[in-house]
Amino acid sequence: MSQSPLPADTRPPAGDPAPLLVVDDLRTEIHTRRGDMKAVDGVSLTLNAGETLGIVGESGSGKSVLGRTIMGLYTTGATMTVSGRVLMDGTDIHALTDAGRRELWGSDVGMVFQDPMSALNPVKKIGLHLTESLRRHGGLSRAAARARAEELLRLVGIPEPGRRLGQYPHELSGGMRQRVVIAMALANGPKLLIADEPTTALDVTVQKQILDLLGRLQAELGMAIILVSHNLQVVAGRANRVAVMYAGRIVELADADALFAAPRHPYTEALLSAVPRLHHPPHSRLEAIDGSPPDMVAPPQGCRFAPRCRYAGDDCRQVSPRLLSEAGGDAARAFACHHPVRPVNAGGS
Amino acid sequence: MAGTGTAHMRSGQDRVLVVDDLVVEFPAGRGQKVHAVSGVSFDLLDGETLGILGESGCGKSSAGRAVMQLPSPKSGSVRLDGTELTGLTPRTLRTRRKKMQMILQDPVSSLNPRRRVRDLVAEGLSIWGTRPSREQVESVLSSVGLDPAVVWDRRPHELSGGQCQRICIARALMLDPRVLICDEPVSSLDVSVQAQILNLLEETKSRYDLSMIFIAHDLAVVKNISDRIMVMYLGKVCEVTPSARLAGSALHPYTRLLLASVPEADPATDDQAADGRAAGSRSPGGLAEQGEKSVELPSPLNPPSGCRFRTRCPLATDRCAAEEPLLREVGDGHYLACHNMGN
Repeated sequence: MSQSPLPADTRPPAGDPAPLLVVDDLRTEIHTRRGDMKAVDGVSLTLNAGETLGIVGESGSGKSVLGRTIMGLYTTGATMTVSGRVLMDGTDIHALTDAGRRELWGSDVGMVFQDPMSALNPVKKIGLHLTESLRRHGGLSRAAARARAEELLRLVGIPEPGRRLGQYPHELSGGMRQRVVIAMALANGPKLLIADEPTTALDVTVQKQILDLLGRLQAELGMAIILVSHNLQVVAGRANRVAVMYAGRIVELADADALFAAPRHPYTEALLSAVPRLHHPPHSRLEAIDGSPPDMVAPPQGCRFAPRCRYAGDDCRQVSPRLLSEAGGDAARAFACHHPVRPVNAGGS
Repeated sequence: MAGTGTAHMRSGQDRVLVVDDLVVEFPAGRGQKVHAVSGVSFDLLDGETLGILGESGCGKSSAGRAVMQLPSPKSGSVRLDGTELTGLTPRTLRTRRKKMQMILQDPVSSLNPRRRVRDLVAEGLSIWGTRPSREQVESVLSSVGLDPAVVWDRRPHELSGGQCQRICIARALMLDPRVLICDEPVSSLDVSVQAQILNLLEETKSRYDLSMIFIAHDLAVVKNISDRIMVMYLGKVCEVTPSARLAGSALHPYTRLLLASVPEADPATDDQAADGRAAGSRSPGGLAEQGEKSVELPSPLNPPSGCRFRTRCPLATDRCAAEEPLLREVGDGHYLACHNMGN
């Protein structure tokens, strides 16, 4: 992985049939004093090379734990149990040794976290953050690594990259720091970038710059992105497919346009109508979702959204719905609901 | 503002709050000052909600706090129901300030973790020497959507963020305020809870006959709750507009930039949304296409001369550097501080 991420030669061949990432029945149980918290409870999904998957959910839905478990940051240990498989290019991340995972993090998978300040070491200069992984995983010489670091900073749109290499994280603005974190994640040309709330700590104008940057880099470098966010609007228009998570499970998975045009799961519908929109007149009443998410140490029987769902029937409280595609419907779309929202005839689709 | 001006100020008897030429500065060491708010004026009508919109560092929170005299502004006047608040003795100030209450961003840290809900809600009145009756506290708790029987003996850590924000609203209501200043009250909450709190604030406002200042960075949230919106940038006012026309007819390049930055779901399926987006990004100067000139926010220690937005503005000319634009009326209730737009 010593070549530059700038040319498109890391891009996989178009129409590659095997998905880049396969997640199969992934479960992450976090051991707490009160019992085992089922943070991720049976998630399966696939991701193709160059694709963007959005994962949307509220706090406690398990979206960040899912991202970190896919990354291999969370593995079975004293505090948690992970079961299921995460296949990256056919390699099971959770079957790797610690050294094998470190190798993977440096090269094939990169991650961007929410808070750029805490993702950077405050007593180390920007240059060291970037050259560290280039020299460790890329095997570059000191001078070559420094040149590549400068190139990476330019790639993520940082002005005067040469000067920035000698600065400390506190000397940069929040948006600039997040660009540095993205540059670090891209250092060795990853095939998959996991971005966990990459813009939540940023202002709206900076948020747009960072999202545009991720989109541009994806087009240039051909990597796949998992974009985790609590904000539906951030994911809309940026992701090819969107998975909506509730209480540790995916409740709806569909192409982004189809999902936002006509949600089928009641939770997706409720989330969409809870958000104020710019084109609505002022003082429009918002459709709040009553109640709060379930306690994941002892989740309710049946559908976990049933206690808050306006469509719920007795069957919902008994039998847990499975994530399935509708017979004769859109095969790319799946939802876990006994009483799905009827598709509205939006624009003849 | 990014000029100064008072063109947007109204006259008449039904103004609850009049803020004139507010200046807030903080010492930053080595003789430098952070110019947080530089000559901002606004007024608030009885029953009106004024939204103050801007990004971090624009001075919106400092302005809200200066109105509360937390701390008192460096200069300028704040009149509540005709009473000048600046320059009052601390003792008198405390009695007058009761009529203004503040809701803050982080509801959990604004509640004393060791107190129970019943004491938290009663605290305000107790300080004034009138211990409220159990019925009073219960009725306020019910009006913010909490079941008194359930939460009565709880402490903040036993409640969710949304519930804590309801407690904060209940605490404010106990003092029977005229003006509620909400500083980012929903930005730490999940969207489903955010909707509950926004609805509650609207209900509360009409039930208790309040006027409200709503400070936030989220355009759609501010538009939803406000009657009038004031957009701030680096301590100055850029634009004042009726909230109904924010998306369609905002003119200031900064407001346009904010609008163009808002991510929107399902634009293709909603004609109105598509219109709104088109209107937001369309401009005579081709603003959306030109984008920003610089990505960095200038330092508030040494703000740019003239129009403070000029360093990021695609339309900036020499005049913008030399001369500070004044707020002027460009439409019904719509005021703009820009040399290049709205002519």
